[in-house]
Amino acid sequence: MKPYFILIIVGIACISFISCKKDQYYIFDDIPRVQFGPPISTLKLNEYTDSLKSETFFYESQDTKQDTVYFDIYTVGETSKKDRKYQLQQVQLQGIENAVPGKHFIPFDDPAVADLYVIKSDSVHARVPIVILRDGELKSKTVNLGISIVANANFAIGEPTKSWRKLQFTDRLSQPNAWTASYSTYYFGAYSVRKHEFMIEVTAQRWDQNFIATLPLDQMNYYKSVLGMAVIDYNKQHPDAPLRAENGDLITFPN
Amino acid sequence: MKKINIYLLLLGFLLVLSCSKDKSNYDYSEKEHIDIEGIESKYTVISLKDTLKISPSAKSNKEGELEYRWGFYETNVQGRSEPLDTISRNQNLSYYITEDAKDWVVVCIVKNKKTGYTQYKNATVTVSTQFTRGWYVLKDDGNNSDLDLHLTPQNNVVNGKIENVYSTANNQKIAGKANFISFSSSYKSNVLNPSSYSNTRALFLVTEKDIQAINVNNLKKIRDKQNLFLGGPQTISGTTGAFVGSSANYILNNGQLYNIYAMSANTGQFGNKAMIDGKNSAYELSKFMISGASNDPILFDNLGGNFVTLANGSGSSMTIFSNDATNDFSTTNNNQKALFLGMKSNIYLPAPDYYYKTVGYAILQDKTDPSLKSLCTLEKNKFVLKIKKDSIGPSSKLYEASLHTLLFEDENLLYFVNNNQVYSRNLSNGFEQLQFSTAGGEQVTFIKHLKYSESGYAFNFVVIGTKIGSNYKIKMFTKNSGNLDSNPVQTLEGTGIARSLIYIAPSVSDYTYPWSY
Repeated sequence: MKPYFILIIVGIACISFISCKKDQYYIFDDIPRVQFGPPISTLKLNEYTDSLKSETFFYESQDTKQDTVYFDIYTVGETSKKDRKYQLQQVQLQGIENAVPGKHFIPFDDPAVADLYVIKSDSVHARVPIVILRDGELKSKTVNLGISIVANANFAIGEPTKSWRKLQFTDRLSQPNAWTASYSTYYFGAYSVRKHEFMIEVTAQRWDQNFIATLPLDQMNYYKSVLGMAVIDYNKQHPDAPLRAENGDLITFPN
Repeated sequence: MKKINIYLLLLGFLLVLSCSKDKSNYDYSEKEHIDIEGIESKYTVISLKDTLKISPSAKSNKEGELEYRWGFYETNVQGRSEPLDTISRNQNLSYYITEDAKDWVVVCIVKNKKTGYTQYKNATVTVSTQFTRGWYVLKDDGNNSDLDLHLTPQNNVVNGKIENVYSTANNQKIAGKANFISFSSSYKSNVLNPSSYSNTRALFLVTEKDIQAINVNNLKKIRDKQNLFLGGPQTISGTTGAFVGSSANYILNNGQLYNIYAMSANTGQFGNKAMIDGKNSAYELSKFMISGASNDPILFDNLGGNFVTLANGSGSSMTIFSNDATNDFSTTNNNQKALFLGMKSNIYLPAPDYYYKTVGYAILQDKTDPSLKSLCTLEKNKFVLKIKKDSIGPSSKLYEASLHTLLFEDENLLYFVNNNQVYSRNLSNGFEQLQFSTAGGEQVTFIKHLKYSESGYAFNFVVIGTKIGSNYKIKMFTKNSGNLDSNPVQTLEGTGIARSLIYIAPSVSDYTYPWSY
């Protein structure tokens, strides 16, 4: 028998002996990281929930000069016995109107808010407050705030797809977050500010985030029917000026 | 490649495959089986009165002590998930029934403690209350309405009566003259569990001023005009009604159609009124419907002269039926007013059709020349309505008829009332025949053909309701070749004016009766 043949047999035997080794656990040995995520209540539903939020001062009294919108942020890695600051920055969004620091929102490094961007000790999650300001020009425009995580001494950046958030805000009616694509498809059609106003006029309901997000299915269908009928009646009463969205499209509701 | 290398490669594969776990069964003994005897397939009990007693015996072909466990669960559950409740761990069951009236299932589970082998056997338990079986009569005193319940405890023969049972349960009568009574087993309420809405067996009481859903188990009001509609309280007026269609509950108020799509989550409240077309044109439905739990309704719009339906029980807009090429009348804008619509048959057509062919009749009156009246055969093929017209001559008794009912899936006859006398009309040849004459001063208030097939309680009656002074009589006739027997099988009597009735039993469901006049 040739020597290499014996070697192969021995090799196979060795492989056979070591092939049943117990699997090892993978221990996290990376540096601490931080990344955005969905609210805790929807953590198991869709990890990309809330990457884009909208807010409006429209429903607030004129005394209200600022408001706070919250995102959610999560750490990756072990917890710490100390509070750990994380850092955010505004990123300029292409092709749309960007919010102006100090005018439309309080900058993240402003002493008034800088200490709020912190992961508490023994915690893996925090709510990220974005303080927006009710500037007069928001009555006629919507501004956009791009937010991204900046690496600092405490945290590196987590998954790139979860390192950013976007916030749109205005003092006009705006599309609530709960008015999703499926909401448009099955219930109320394409969003427009004029349609939104019409819905409020006809039903005397707020049609804000909370109202839409908590509307039971049978009431959703009820309002869909009421609004569809109301548009038809409006157009019959205004044959020369049917109800149109701000982009000129005729306003309709799915049957 | 050298042979030795091929052998080594094969050896390697064998090594990889050689570690599969042996799952073979080397037990060649006879499989265990447990026979459970002494359990009927069905039990009927009265809630809060009866104790369900079952004494089974079980034996296994293997050694070991047997242990017993009894479970109880609900059927026809929608909107929630009910667990199997363990109600006993003794061999002999003795269980005091407190459940709501409907069909339940009792399960006897027998386990061999030594081998762990388990066998079970089911039985249907039909739970009733004193309100869940009998003839309900919707009546009024000219101003307000109430219910009488004529009890049928042993068979279809009435034995006992609870008068004014609605007002007894609810401490008030229903406003308005009585109009119609119907039933739904798919109506949703939270009376069983305040936190969830599920199927509730409900009677719909329709008067000229109110529409109420009441719980058949205890006759308590579930909803009325104050909260029956999602849009808030409504004024009930004009043409009113309530009935069941495929996947939907319907209400008529002021000639407008409201629906609940029963196959999706809902709170038992009716939605917005349905439009008749995409232009939201005005319409006014007649009170007559041809409907059933397995098909969409046929309705008639008196304002526009349209035959309409609501497809699949859902959507914001009704559908006007399309015309068959041979129609004598158009399904739309036909300038007619409905004097009657009724269902004659509803037959499922198997492959390649896969739909229910509904046949009904309509009596229509021309709106331009009211002296022109027609008896029309309606044949529904999905959304196509075939209409064949037969003019009604002024000499016919049917010409001046006021109340009508068709013999549903029986002889080809239409029964009707002319001058307080009940006639039949042969739908094949037009032959009319007097079937029943009222005594002096007696007025016919409704007629209805009703049949029911539950073993021990089955009936097939032509029912004639009459008014004498301030009392009613409801005479239930069997028939022979379509003609009424000379004397009624039984007569229900009470105070007030009877307008409508229905037979309710635990096994009555959406599918039991056609929903029609």
